[in-house]
Amino acid sequence: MKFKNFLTAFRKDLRKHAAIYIMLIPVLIYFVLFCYRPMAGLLIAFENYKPRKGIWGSDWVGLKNFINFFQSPFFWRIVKNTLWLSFGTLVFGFPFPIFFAILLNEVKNLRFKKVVQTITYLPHFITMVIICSLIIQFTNTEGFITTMVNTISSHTGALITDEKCFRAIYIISEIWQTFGWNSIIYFAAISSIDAEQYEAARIDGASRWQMMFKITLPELIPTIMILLIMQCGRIMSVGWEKAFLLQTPITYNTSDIISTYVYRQGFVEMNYSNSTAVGMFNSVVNLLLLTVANSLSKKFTESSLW
Amino acid sequence: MKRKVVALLLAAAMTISLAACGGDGSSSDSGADTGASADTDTAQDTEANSEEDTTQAADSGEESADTGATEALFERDENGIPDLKGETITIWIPFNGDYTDIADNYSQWEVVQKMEELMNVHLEFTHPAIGQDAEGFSLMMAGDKLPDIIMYGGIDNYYQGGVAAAYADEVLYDYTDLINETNTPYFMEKILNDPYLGKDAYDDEGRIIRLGAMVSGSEESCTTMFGIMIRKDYLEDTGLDVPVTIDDWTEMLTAMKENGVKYPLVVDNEGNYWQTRNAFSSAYGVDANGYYVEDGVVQYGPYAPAYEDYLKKMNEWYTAGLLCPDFQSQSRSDSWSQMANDEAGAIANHTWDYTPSYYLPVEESNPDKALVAADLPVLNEGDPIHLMVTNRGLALYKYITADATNPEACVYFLDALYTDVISDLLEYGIEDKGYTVNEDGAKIITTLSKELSDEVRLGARIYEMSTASDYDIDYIKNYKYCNGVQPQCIDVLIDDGYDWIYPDGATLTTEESEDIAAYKSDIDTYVDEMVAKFITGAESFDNYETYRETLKTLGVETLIADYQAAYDRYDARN
Repeated sequence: MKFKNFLTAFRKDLRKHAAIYIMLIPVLIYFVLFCYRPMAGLLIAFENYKPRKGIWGSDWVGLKNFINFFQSPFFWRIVKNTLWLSFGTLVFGFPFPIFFAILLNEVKNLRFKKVVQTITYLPHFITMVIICSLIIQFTNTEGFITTMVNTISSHTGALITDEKCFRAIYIISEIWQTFGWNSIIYFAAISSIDAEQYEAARIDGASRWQMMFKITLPELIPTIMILLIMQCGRIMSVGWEKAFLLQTPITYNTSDIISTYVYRQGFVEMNYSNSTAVGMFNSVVNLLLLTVANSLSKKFTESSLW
Repeated sequence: MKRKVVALLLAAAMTISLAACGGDGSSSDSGADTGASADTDTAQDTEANSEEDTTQAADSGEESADTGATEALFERDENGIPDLKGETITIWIPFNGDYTDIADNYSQWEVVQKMEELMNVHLEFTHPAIGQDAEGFSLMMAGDKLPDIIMYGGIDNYYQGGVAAAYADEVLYDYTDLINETNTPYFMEKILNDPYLGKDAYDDEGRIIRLGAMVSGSEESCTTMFGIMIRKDYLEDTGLDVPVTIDDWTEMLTAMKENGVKYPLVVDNEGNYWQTRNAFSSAYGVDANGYYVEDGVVQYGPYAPAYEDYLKKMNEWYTAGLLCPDFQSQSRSDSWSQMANDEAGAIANHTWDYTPSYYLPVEESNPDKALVAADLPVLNEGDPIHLMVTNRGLALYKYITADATNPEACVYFLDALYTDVISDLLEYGIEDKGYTVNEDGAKIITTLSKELSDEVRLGARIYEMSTASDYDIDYIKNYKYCNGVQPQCIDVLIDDGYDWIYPDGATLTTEESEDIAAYKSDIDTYVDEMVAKFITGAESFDNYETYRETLKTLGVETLIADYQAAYDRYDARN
């Protein structure tokens, strides 16, 4: 009965908003083709997969690939590093664009505002390979960042080949790369705040700081929460390109993450089943984190994804 | 020249039971060879060649008499090139990324069109996307039907479990029974009957698996194109001779450092030549990052006892500032620019790179910056070198798949790649396009430049398909590696031994390959990490035993045992 109601409602809606449904089609196709269909391939995590024999013809090995991974001497190291880099980026990186947007919003000189915004967007448009070679150049023995750090601290030698510095390099450069671009959404949210609220506050004698913390920030909370939950969902998928491009064997202790491990297993050793198993483990943990973050948010802030 | 032809005809005539094809094969050889030797070799060489050819022709004549005449499946012309009756052959091979601006398929190459015409065959090429060979290979494997031939080592590099598994999984066609004097005379002459190469053409099950493989190097041309090069002016400043022993090296590098050279020795992580070519590890009798065979016993370099001494020396150099501290993160071009900017004293790198990266931009216009070549160092003067990574052997393997529609035609096709006409086509390209003949009559391969016309560029060679390379040491030194320090590099290295290098012809069983798949990745990761740490001093040598223990728990001894077993089987082949 319920289903029948749904169908009638759907048909009615379809007639009313045909154009919107047509626009939806490419998006649907994209998700089916690139997100849902490949999931069938997860089967190879339970097989000794050989491309020639195909998914259905390869031998089943059950959980062997997972057990191998859990027993690998590097298991804890790569899980730890993945969590470190992703939580680090989240904790240190997430607040940046928010404050940047709020502060820049206070700037009344429009020209200055635009220039600052453009400059901060810039790194977003440079490809990762170039960004990473810049970072390597700057943090090599002769690099200017290395020279700077070594003059003001007791550190010696290149930063990029020091395993203790890898996380800092990764997270700081990540912030530099993304905060400008990520602040766009907050700018949009701020501009939709009702101007009357500020007016009323001003009449009541509120200072600029008070308006920032009592009006702008609270108005941004729903946006912040949604973005935070979405970030949590991506937590295990730390940008593999970047870790891969920045790591050298000597920093594996802090730089080797799940995805670089998967890469070496899958594409260097052609061990597809093994690497799919590791990738699947990654996604499952990811899903769990997303669910936890969502329910926490639901409980404390009333905004959630579902 | 005439004498040679007559001699060959006589040799052919003497063995009357010779089948039509065998005869064709040997006489054709003479014809084509005459042309080639007139082009490249001096008169003396030609004579030597003709003697050799005569005996070979006689040999092969006898062999085919022994095996009995089999009916030829395809007729051959006077050059020994078979007529494949318009057959279509599909080939998987990675495409050369230097040509993507003008072409997307090798069928556009004049060399290929000429081959098609000569052999009366239609060649269809499938190429993986540029730089995605591995992915392309897996896609092909997952597809419905495999191409007839897979080239460029696809199976070796990307098939999990390697050749043994590929045969076990029925991916490859076993053509062993088709190999004989009638069907594959050139393969038999160039590889199977060659005392050095013959053994490498088989797997442990007695299958012949290397039809179509490239013959790289030769007895007189067995060297390495790797070089250790020193700035001549800086060496002269130290007043020392070109270093021979490791101690000489320490002395020279220290003296350079005292003279103000910033990085006395630069190496990089990109080609990793100093490691993969055993630049400094061979002095200690260990392979820098792989398996080797010391008097019949397989060892893994980073697990061998003497490896600690090697690492300690590298650590000593690093700590003293003799080794460029960025060796793990800098690229090859960084190293060359340090040489060019007067920051570095010595470099370990591939000598092919030297021409575009150093000779042309720097040394040619600035002869003060000339380099001298150093031999692989040893511990004590006169010590033998066992671990030079040689160019000699088989390479660029080609495989006929189990899906091949006409495997016999594929066998004839691959064999025909060894005929002089086709081998030269693939090695040099089309005359006045892919190569030019200089005043000495030598074929000079055209330097690839995007400014050349499309027509010239499409007349280029296809190295990836070729069947012969670097066999003539005079040609290499005079026309190929002929700039600045290049010939000297080859000269100093050519006498070094390579008897401990793990033979490429040894093949692993499916079970052994599974061990490799299970352990190798983790071992490599750990070794890369720890070697770098020991060299930079991030890890103390007090922990060296712990390092070896960890390697043991990672399964290194299982792998050594597997490689040992494979080596023993290889050694037992006749």
